Amino acid sequence: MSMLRWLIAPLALLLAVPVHAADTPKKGGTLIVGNADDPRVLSNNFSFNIGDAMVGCMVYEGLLRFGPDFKLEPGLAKSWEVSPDGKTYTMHLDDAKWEDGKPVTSEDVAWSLTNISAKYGPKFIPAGKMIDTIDTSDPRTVVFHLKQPFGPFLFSLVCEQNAGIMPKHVFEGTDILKNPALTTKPMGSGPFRFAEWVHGDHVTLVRNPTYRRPGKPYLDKVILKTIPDSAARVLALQAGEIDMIYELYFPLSHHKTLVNDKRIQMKNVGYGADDLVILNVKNTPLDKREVRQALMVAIDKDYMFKNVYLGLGKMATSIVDSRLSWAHNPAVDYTKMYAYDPARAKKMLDDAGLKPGPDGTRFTMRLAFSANRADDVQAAQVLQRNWQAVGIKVVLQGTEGNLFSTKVFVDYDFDAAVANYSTGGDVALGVSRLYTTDSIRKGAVFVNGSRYSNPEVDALFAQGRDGANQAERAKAYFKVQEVLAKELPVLTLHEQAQITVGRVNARNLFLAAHYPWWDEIWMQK
Amino acid sequence: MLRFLLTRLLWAVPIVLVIAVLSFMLLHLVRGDPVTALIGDFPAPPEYVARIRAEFGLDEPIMTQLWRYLVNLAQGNLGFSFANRMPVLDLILSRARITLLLMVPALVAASVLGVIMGLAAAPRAGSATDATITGLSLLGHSVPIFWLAQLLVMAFAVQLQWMPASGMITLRDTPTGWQAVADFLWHLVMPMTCITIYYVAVVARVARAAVLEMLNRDFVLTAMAKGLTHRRVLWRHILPNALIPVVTVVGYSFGSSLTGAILTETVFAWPGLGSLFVSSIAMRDYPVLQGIFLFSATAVVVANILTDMVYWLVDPRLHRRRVRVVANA
Amino acid sequence: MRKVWRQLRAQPIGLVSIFIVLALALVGLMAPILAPGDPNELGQDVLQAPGPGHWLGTDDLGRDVLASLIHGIRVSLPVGILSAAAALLIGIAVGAIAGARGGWIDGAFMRLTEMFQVIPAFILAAVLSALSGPAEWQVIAVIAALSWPQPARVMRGEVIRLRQLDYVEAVRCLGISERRILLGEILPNALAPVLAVGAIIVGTAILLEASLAFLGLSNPDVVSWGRMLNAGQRYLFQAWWLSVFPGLTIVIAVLSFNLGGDALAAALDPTAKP
Repeated sequence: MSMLRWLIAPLALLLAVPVHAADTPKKGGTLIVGNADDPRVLSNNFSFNIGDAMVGCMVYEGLLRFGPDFKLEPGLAKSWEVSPDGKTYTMHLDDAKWEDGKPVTSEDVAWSLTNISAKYGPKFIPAGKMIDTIDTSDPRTVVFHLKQPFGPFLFSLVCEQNAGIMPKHVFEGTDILKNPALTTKPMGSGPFRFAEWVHGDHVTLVRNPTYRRPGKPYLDKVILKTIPDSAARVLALQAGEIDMIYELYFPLSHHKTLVNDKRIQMKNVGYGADDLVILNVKNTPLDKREVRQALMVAIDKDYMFKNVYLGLGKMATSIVDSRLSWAHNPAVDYTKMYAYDPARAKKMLDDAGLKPGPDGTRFTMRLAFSANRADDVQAAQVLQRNWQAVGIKVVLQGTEGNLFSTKVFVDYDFDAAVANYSTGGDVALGVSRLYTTDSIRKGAVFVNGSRYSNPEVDALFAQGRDGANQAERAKAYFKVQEVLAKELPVLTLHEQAQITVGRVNARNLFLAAHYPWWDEIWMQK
Repeated sequence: MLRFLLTRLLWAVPIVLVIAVLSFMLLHLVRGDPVTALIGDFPAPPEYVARIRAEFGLDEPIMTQLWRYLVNLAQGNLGFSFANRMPVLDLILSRARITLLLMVPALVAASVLGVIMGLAAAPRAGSATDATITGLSLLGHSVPIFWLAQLLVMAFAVQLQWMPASGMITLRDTPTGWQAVADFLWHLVMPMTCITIYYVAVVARVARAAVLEMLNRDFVLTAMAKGLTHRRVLWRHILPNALIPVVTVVGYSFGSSLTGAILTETVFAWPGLGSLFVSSIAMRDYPVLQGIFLFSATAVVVANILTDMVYWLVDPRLHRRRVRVVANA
Repeated sequence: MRKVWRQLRAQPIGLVSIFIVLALALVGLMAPILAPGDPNELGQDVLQAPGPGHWLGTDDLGRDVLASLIHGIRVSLPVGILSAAAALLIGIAVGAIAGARGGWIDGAFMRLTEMFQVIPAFILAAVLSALSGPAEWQVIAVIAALSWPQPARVMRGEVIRLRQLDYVEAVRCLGISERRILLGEILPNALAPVLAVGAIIVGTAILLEASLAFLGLSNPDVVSWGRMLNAGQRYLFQAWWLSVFPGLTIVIAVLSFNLGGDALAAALDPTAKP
């Protein structure tokens, strides 16, 4: 019986993927990925860094993993049950071994999630806070007891969410951040083993011969090459020197060049990220919502979509990215509510009591943006033009990345700020942090920079997070979108296209969402 | 000789000290909590942050911190790179080696080419040929190196596919043995060409001036009058004397060649000091930036001393002449 | 003056270069009148290839490349010229004093120049930019601070040489003060090679600014040639004109300064035969 269960998961995965008769995966070959910088540590439990996520989730595994469309698929846990009250999660572990031969047990899971992921992993911390106790009496079963229902709990148990399971016997009792397993000798249970790291140039990983899924991985080697210059990265892909560029490292301005290249394949995969403008609601006249609405109406969204965003992705219709389909409220549509209409915007500003002065200016505002992000620079320039056309003098204040963060999230020294927020895969993980009162934390970046505070909104987000099932949660989220569509402390402009590109002979590159299933990729000659 | 060396070394000390103080001050330009300057945005629990604060004495007065910094420097401790998880000095030294692999062949090629151009231009001084040669070399010196690099990659790597687009070696099926050397050289060609084009002008100008001076010297005219062939005069007398200023100018432009290497490395993903510099800016790894500043300035000081020594050794005549002049004054 | 003009005419390339520099400066000054349109005007003709209407093409927000280049003169050129001017001022002063006084002042001078010359300008400017934000005055200050030794050494050499000339001895015998001699006789004659060095510094400054912009370390609110190169990278394959024209402009400007400076120095050289 357990044999069958052991086969079901991989079998189901294989059947879920359309496979041509002639295209049987072959063993062998090397996949070379082009990244913008080196990983920092050889584990994904400590940061947002892409290199970390790649290496970390090849060497280590999470209990679950993302399948197509972010459906949750088995990882180290081959099956699981959730109690009706949403507070107890029982995970059944697959038969996996660490590189030194010791088995992966529930002790490892509990220890790793509590002492590493919950402490250091920014994406796992919200889930970590919800865990009351973990029952590890059975070495092949992990039972989580939560303090209260937490909708995105399963979502958080994925390696890419900083929840890769690490071996207790290697890390317990050591100074975790200085443990050589993070920098030179990682030991995981995943499909690949770490081979070498030439700092600044590349990281090499080789097949793990004792990986729990038989016959996988197909690849002999994976190499993560560091190419800091984005144009050079694209050139390397075209020349065949690398086989894949992950979405975050692919400059969309090169999309047009590659889209017709027969040697290149691409896919829009990601759990959602949005281009938006944070408004400082503590400054006049932005404290008036009519003014904020007028700002939205004055933006030429078609022009921005075509020229700033290159016609990729789509213009946003509400605060929740449409890729979070279950929580996205289709009745809220910014493109209709706030359609581009400079005349209407002028009237709205007149009605709000902001008449133009003798030189035509109604008021002045400062627009901050991060100068290293080309999209943001352009968006800022277009916004300036659009808002100046309705009588608002806009002073552009572009600064380098971390200075921008200081300006906006520490000093609150701005009126409007162009920013990008990831959805984090769930409203409770990424979207809510823009609007809730408890997300107003001076000094923390990418939280509630507008300092908007509304108890009704807070309550709705809390209901959404604590709902026992998705339908319940969606109800609260639908309502909060209606409220915030009128309040507009943040102007959500555009849903980013998250396009990952690769060479056509890298097969199965896009089986899963967000990050590839490294063990499924094979190279066709 | 020893006295000369000692004097030079002695003078180097205050210079390096000033550079060290300057690099210390640089780190304190970072706005906000100095801890972020040391850790970057690496997530760290509060106890760890407190530990860093104590280790670096961040709450102590500035002069104490400066003293601590200088003491660390003297022991070879340039700090710790959190992005790369290794001591800054080791990091810089390992990458510097790779940059030298690029710079040295480039500068040698630039020197050879520059001398040839200088030798060709000087005897025809004032003519159209001279103007063309000088103009061409100056043209190379007026081009933004990274722009040239990108154009070369587009032309030779993507369009013609003759050269690799990036990197130092081929990563897929990496060759071994002699093929590895050939592979490395093949990757070296384009980045090296960029740097060479830029520095040919510097060498050509100096070589031309030196050769011109030589050609007007009495002893050369005498040699030619005695019937020595042009070629012998060239090889025996002119070339060796022209090489001296060439070597010195290459040595003294070590600092700017480093800059050229930094920009070239970025375009070609050459994993040397330049790539480290750029990625450290992106990752806000300030100790590394500080370390690179210190390292490059110190390297230039060392290069200057070495060049002075070479100059002194290679041309003892100058030394003797200097002595004679002093005696006659 | 006529001799200078005749000297210049003998070097056609140098003359052309000087004209180009002057033309650039003039165009820059008259930018608002001359430029075909406002460079900040966002248009609908996005990524247009060069052709009638937009002679050098447009960028990804419909801005005319030629207009941007012309307005860019007002950013790139002043940075170059101010850096060189500052370096020259400091250099001439320090070099003259060192050359005139000699002795231990001269020795200290040599050590001082070495201290400034070992610091690589680009690395310092880049680190400053990364740590405390980009600013044009930083670039000017860094170049001035690290380049003044070049004109200073030349000045010092010239002062030492000229002081020993016969006619200067003669003037000295007339009882005129050293300072008068320095300012009246030596300085004007020492200017030629110093100016040549100054021209080279301008070129270096322009390239340094472009390099900083390439790494994204220049002021983003200001459109300089370097910034245009940086922005052009995104469309390297689709819109070659966004990279080629700014690059060519930089090459022409820097080359003209280099060649022009050389020509001017040769023309001003009093020892050259008429």
